[in-house]
Amino acid sequence: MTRDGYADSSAQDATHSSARSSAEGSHQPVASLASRAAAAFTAYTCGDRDQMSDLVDLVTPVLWHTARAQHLDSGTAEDVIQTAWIRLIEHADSIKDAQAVLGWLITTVRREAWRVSRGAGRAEPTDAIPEPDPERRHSHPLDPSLLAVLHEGQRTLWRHVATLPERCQALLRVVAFVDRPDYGTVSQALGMPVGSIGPTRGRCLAKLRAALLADPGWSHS
Amino acid sequence: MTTDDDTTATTALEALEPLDDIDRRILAAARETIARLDPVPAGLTDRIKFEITLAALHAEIADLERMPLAGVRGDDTAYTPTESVTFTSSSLSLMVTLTPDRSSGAATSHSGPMVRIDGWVTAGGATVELFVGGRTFTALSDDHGRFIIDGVPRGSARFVLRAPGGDGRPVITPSLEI
Repeated sequence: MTRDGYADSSAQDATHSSARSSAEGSHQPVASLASRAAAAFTAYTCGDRDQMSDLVDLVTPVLWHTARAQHLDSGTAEDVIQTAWIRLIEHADSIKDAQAVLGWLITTVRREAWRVSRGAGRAEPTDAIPEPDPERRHSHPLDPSLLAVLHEGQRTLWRHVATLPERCQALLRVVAFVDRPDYGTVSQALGMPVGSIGPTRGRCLAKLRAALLADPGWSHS
Repeated sequence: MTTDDDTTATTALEALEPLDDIDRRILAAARETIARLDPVPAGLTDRIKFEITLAALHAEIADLERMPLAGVRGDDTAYTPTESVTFTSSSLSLMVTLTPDRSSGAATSHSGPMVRIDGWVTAGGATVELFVGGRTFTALSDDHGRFIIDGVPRGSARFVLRAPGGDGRPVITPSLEI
């Protein structure tokens, strides 16, 4: 697979980052989340049981936002994530490629979220992130009163994020919590073909970017 | 690394306009914003780790049979009802009775009301572990299968039972609010 390729480019980022401008330095040259998850999972399967704890710490934020992007309430999201972890323990032996463990967990959370929110009797989605129910469009799981915790720039950003298509919002919520080399893994796990991550993500980000750059509330933040 | 699929996928990623600083700044700001608006619940990772520990036991999960309240509350005394709960599995069964624990300094304790658990398991010499509120209590059932655990804080609790001799799968109960 190409994951090694991603890891290589990440390593190049690391070697070149010292020569970059300080602005570019804000891109943290760390190993991809998938690689770090793979290292912890490999150690776990080799008998270092404590490593599972590291894996939980690493990927829980991504899984949380994967579940929440599927419109689950907080308690249901927790249950779904717990279920995914229990399945991982049960199926640890069947995961041959440790690099795949991040994608496996995201996929499991997404499918379980779908199953729970649509009822167990319904068929699983084929591949795409489901379009939202029309009546759910106004039941965004984030409490608007929470906007008070944001500073002006963040409020501006969130106002524009909220105008994006549902699919873009879901993608953005997950992609924001992984590293760039993980985009391929995340796109697959969210049910989008690898080849479309760029264009899909590009479209979402391009819209957001254009809106933000035209908004003085953002540019001065 | 050199299959057509890989090449295609890599090209599809690399051929795109590279992310620039503005993109990175937007993504970083989105991450911060989302993390503030919808933070991962406190304690979630601890709860996951605990569930993983239990799952790794490959324990049989017991069925919960909630019994009618056994306490006497026919008059207006301040009796807190006693609650009995039974768990069954293919190998071991467990009945526990919960009563407010007034003996273990609960009145002066800063950690809130305590519960006393009188238990009966269908095997003498069975090891009973109780996980509640991040603490673990361990008891051994007597020849008649009885055990007592007192000074238990209220919270979500699970029991893990092991038959004497350590043979067979452990049995774990579903969560019980005590």
